[in-house]
Amino acid sequence: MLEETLVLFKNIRNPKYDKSLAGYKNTGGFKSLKKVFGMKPEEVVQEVKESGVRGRGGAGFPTGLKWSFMAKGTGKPSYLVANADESEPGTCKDRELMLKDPHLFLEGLMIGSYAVGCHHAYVYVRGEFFPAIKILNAAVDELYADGLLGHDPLGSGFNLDITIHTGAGAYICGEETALLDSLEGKRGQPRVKPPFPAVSGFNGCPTSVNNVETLACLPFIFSDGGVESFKSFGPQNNSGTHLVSLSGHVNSPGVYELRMDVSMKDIIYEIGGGIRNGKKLKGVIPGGSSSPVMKADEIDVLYNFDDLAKIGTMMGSSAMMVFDEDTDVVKLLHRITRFYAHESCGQCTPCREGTHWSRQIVRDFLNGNGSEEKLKRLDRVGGNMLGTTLCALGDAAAMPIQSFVNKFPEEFRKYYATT
Amino acid sequence: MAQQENEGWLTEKWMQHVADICEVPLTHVEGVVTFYTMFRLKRPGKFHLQVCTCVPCCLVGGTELLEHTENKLNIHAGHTTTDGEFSIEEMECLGACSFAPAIIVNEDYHEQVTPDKMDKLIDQLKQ
Ligand code: FES
Repeated sequence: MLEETLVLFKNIRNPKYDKSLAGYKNTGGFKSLKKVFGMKPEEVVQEVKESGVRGRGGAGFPTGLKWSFMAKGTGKPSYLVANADESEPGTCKDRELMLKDPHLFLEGLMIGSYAVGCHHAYVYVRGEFFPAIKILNAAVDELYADGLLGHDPLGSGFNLDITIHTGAGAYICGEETALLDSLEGKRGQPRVKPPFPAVSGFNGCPTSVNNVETLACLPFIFSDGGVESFKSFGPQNNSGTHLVSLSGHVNSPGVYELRMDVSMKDIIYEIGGGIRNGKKLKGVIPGGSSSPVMKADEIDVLYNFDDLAKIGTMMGSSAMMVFDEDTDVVKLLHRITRFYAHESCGQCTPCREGTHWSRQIVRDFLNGNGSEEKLKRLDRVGGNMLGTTLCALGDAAAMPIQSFVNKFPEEFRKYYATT
Repeated sequence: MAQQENEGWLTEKWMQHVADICEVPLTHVEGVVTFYTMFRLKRPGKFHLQVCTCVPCCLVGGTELLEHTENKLNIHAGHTTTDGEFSIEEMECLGACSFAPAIIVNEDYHEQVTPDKMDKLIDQLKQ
């Protein structure tokens, strides 16, 4: 029977855990930070590279490598910004971490700040997360009161401030350059890249934006023997455990911490308890609503970055949405296209228009006005968004469209106009 | 912050105030305000029910929950009851998908909400 592997959720799964600073310290909290303060920042970056940890926000970019791109000797301050704008449909793991073990994440943020030479770190939390915002603010206050933040924590000679910044409701702000614009008090619109944030980010200074879960991995990586055990949790290039947000038609939806060498089938049937009401599986959206959909017969695959990429889809933010045989796939796609039409920031024409057109075409189908020609057009509208926009939202909107059309054409045919 | 002081919504007067403090033109403030969904230019009800109908929520009854709430309060999403007590807003993913369907009432999350639970909640809030 498949079970969870507890690294990030080690404390959270302990019913007696006290998430205050004192409670966190009792479980060995801040030992890693202490160790890190004894290392050179370059060594810290090197260790993170060595651990192989990849960004957990969706893109899966190696974190150590990202940090090594940070411009040095510019005379400008460097910034680390935690991306807590969790809003990819299906994803709800960062919220768990922030609500239930805020200090684990904050220790990670402090380790990261030291590594990239940041003296003022920001946490950009989505505005709707009122409870998490309160908890994080209280946790930061505790850290200041304890002397772990501010001037010279643990006698390190390193100064660090943390500010919790709240968003105001916009999916696009999860994109790192939009997030930075939003942090600067503007409309959150993705920027033209290059320059990348590592060169010119927050207020034009070198910046790294990292996901909450990614940062929360750091205290473990810097614990004794951490790098080696971290690597042992998955196949090469897919190291560590990750938090899987399982939702949809399973018996036990929830957020689970798993190794990266377990199959999707086991996750759905053993961890998720199978499909509810004894129904059959129809498909899975494997990594947030923007990932290409999979059919029931494709789930015998390891759930990690590379194995999913090999079969033409992606793990994204590890958000698995499961749907059963009774699900109307066209309706489901309609809901997805509605989301992207709502969330497109409107800067790039292919995305601004494409998201609306695709929604209209899918709606035509639902109204019984589908046709072969419209199905082709839908596929084409998707294709025209792929890779033609400033940020990944265009791709994110296109991938579900094309995959739904290609994998479930018969479902669309049900909605062809009868003449 | 201006929004918080004005019972959860913004008027031109408040936006002008922000513009003055930040030393930017009013249009800049308006641009920001209309970009984000959490800034409101209409007064919400005393209890603002934000119902998620995004993909995972919709798979397990979010859409039906929204309809149920609309029928119960006799208003559509985006509107406020005449007595100013309740307003409904249809939401995109609230980041609670494994505990779907999710809603937020003012600042509090409620998870795995059934129509039944919604009825009870509304009755409770009415008191
Ligand atoms: S879809 Fe409703 S909370 Fe994510």
